[in-house]
Amino acid sequence: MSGVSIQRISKSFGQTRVLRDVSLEVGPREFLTLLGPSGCGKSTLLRIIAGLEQADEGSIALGGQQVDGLLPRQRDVAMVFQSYALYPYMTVAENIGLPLLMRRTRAWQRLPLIRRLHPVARAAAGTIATDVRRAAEALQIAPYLERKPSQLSGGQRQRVALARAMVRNPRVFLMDEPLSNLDAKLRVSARAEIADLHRRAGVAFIYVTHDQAEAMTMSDRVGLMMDGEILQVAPPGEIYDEPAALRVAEFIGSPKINTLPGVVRADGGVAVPGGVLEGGSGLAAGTEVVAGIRPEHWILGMSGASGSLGALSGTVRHLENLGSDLFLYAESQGGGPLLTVRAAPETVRQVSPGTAVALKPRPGRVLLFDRSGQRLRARP
Amino acid sequence: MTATTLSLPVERTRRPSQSRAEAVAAYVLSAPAIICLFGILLLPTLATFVLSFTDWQFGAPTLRWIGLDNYVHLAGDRVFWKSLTNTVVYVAVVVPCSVLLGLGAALLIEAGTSGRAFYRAAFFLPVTATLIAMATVWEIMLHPSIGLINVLIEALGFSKQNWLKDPELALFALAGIGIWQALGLNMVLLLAGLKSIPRDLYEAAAIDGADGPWTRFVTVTLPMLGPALSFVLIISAIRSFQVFDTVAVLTEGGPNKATEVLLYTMYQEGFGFFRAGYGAAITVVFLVFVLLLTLIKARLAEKRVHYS
Repeated sequence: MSGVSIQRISKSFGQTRVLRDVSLEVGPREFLTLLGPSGCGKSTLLRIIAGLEQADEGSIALGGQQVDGLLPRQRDVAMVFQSYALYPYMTVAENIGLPLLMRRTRAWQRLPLIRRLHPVARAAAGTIATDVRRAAEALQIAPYLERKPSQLSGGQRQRVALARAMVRNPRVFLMDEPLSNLDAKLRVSARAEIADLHRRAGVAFIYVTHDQAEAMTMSDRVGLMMDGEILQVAPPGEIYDEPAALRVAEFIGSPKINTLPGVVRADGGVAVPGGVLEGGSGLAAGTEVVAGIRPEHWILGMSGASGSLGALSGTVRHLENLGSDLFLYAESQGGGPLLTVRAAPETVRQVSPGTAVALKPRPGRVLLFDRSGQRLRARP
Repeated sequence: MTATTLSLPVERTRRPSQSRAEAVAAYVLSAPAIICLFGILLLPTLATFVLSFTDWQFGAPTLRWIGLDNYVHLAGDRVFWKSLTNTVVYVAVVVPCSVLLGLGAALLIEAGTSGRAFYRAAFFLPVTATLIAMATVWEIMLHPSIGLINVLIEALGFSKQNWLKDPELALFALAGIGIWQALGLNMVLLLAGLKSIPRDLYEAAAIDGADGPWTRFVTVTLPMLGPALSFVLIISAIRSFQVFDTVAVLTEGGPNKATEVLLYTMYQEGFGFFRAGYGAAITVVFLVFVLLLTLIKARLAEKRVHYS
């Protein structure tokens, strides 16, 4: 039985189509991240799953049950919002307990006096307090249960939002950029916490972000979205190494992948401005392609031997030493944008702006795309 | 009223003469504001307070200090007590009705999809209109024989009422006009309050299960509207304490003092009978009520209703 099954969802706001025929299957215990630039429709898709937005076409099943037309409450989902959406006038304990209160009591049992006197309401209050404390302890916010959200730091508020989501064991967790309001350091530790929460909860997580680091570090699979379409769904390593399209390759990876326009030669190599990328591409001679080479997939040579087959030559224009990595930005003799090359930090002793370098892609590491951006599976 | 000192993050390692020059400059620069504050707000209040201990007649060249005599007289004045009771009844009717109706109108407009601007403008119209002119229109509407209201009431099978001349009804007729007038402003203020509630909270509530109209209202709308609502309550209370123009135009306090209200009594004493000292004493009583409301508002603002 699948966790979440999304079938051919389309959605327009006025004239703008934000989702085009999106289908997606998420496993019952899977952590799936929807990654994409802002405005790609990923948040809208999440809100449609939650029931906060209605799809124009298509259908959604949660745990094997069709939920189209059901209210958010009836779908048994939990959602963590970018703003956390905590109720500012309630204490942390009341915030976390609200989903339980709404499910375990009736409206009249929540009226001021009855809440304290009616046996059912009082019993519910007891079990709610126990469950709230358990959730708060799991997220280390138990000491703050009686505080108001305004008295908490950003990281603590975020945990309250997580606690409110996990307290009632929903069948799917939906997270809409929950870390984007945290500072960089906190974000890294919160990533580990959310991954841990996922392991313990044992249900499907759908996580929306524009931050590829979050997507790559936490997910079982990443769904890359652009312009209302899912371009590729794959595990993080695969989406990085085997992107299905040039747009995927360009969005994932930092610094960005190098792209060179080229033409397949009779010997299978790819002629690009300033040189030839060696190897048998298996493509028909004359095919116009775009070659993509990630910064870490260059072999850096110091010879400066220009024109040697299978290599590009260029001149270093700019260096970025991050300590763990050194990035060279080299101007190719064939022109075009600067090529980004990742090198070992020790290389900094040998190169400086102006140094002539030779570049060769690692064997089997050139990604070829056709001119429309679709991946061509054979390699040079 | 309290004076607050602002400390600016200025370097404090200056020569004494220089810091004195700075202090002088500060006083010179704030002088216009201080003079205006005292001249326009504080001095007149103080003067009224002082006058209430004198027997000054409006326009008279001399006055005499008579201590608490005016207040003693007030305590035994049947008209004053009638006037105070009427004012409190008027406030007790107008405030809850105008706030609740304003809230209802704001919720309906906010929930609607079309014609929002029209409804907003229509409800706000009485706020912008001159009440004196509107009072004349109401006088015609409430006319015992040709008034629209009596015509409607008769069509519905009830007997005609002499709204402004019946001691039992006159105050409530005026309260009705007061509600009609206050409703629009309350609605606009509450609409602004509703707009400032983040949509996220409603969505979180929907997912948490608080999605019925009533549950959503008590879980999100009402608490988030707290600041706006307390402001609206206090403002409409103060404004209805100040009821004057409808009384002056429509009933002149009658029939038989049934619509005598504080400000109208004060106006009569001070400018009708020229007993300025006595009028000042009524004004002081009036001020105490308004001050009390302002204090409640300040206390509410400190507690509970603000969350930031």
